[in-house]
Amino acid sequence: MNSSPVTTWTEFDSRSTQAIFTFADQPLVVQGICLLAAVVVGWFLVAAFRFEKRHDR
Amino acid sequence: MEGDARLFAEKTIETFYFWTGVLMWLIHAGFMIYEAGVTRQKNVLMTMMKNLLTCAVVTPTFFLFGWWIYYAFPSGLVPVSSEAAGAALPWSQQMGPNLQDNITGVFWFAFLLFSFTTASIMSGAVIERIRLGAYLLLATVLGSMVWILAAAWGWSGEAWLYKKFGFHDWGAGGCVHTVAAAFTLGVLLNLGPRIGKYDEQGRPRQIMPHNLPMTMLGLMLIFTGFYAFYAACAVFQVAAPGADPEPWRSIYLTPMTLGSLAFTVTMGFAGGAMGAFIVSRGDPYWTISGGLAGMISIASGVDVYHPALGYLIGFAGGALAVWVGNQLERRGIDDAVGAIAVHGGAGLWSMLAMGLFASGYPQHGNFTSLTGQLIGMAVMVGVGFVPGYLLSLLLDRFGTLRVSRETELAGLDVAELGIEGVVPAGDRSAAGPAERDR
Repeated sequence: MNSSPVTTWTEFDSRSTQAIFTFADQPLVVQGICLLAAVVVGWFLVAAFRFEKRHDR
Repeated sequence: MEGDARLFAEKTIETFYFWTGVLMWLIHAGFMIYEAGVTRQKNVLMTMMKNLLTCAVVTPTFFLFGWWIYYAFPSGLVPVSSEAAGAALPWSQQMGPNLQDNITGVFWFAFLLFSFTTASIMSGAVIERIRLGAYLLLATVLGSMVWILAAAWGWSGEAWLYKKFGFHDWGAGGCVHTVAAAFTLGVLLNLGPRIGKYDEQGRPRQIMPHNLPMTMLGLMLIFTGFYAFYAACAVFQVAAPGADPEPWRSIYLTPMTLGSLAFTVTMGFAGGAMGAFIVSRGDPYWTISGGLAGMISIASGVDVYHPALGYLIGFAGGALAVWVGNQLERRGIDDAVGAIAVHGGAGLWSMLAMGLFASGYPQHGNFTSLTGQLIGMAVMVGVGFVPGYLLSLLLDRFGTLRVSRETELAGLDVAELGIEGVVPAGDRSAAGPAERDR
């Protein structure tokens, strides 16, 4: 998946280039990734309760 | 004044790499404590001796030929004759105190600590039954030859995998973790499982760590040392007089920041621990091992990942490590610490994730790509597995790979070292062979 916000070496190595992270030029994708990460954290928190409960039995 | 500023910058660089090397020793303190906790009481001291001697034996061999391999083999199996390769020979002007060279010694030191790490990845998997001499020979070959050859192919500025295919393995998920895991798999196939690991029907039994809290503390030290490991992978250099200031660069000389490590290594750790926790259903050993798998999963692309993407990649890596560990155990591979699952599973995932999520980055003459990553994965597995399998097969044929059944049952501490590593409280009379022989 092409996720680079820079397309040429000159652009990448330029001091004027700022964010170089994956999908930096596609803010909606970055927001989607953050949302997915939040969902996973939520899943983990629910699972933590579940495993704790299993050991209490 | 300009000359003073330049000298100050060079000393700063020298200081930076020196301290990354010093802090990376925490990884080895961690490996020692971690493996000592996993092993049974009767093998504690021998397990720790193996960790200690790994560092001892890899140091001179890496000085004598390991460093030269890195510069001499960037194109394949035929050594090149270059100025850099000549300077890496142990008798060159650069391989000793030299007032005009502020970098070689500290850079060699950082790479030496990478070599310790690679060899130590194997050490935990083979505990409780490998002969010390066989282990040290294997550790020397892995730590001072095999991984550094893989690094020359996939990690150096002139590496053929990078030059021809755009392979990108920023934090050595391939040339350290995958190579070490593949080598270890080759060794375990010849070494076989510990006595009692499988029942008569071939079903695996759990051999419990004798001190799980100690193991968890060891991994926390490894986590700490890994920041230094990653920092040492970043290239810190001074611009030529009159040129623009130099940014931090990856080992491929692409621009980056140390902030990427702060963000993404930590997010990868968090994801890995959470993923392993869920898949292992809250198992403490796998949860903390998953943290390490998460830190490894982001290795290849840590310079460019968005932190939330690093978290998700780490999460998948932690989950994958648990699954791989269970699959290997069911197939008769007794990896006592889950090294292949953590370093191999997450190492391969690291290279693949780079291709899946971070293709299209310019790297001088080419671009990062999924194809380049897949080729790199195949090469890293092959370059690790083949020598590990063949050398351990040879040792096995000569009857020098594994301790005797009697020694294994008695425990390696008493049988091979003549001393008990862990003496039960109130039983100090059993502290040494002299006392015991009375």
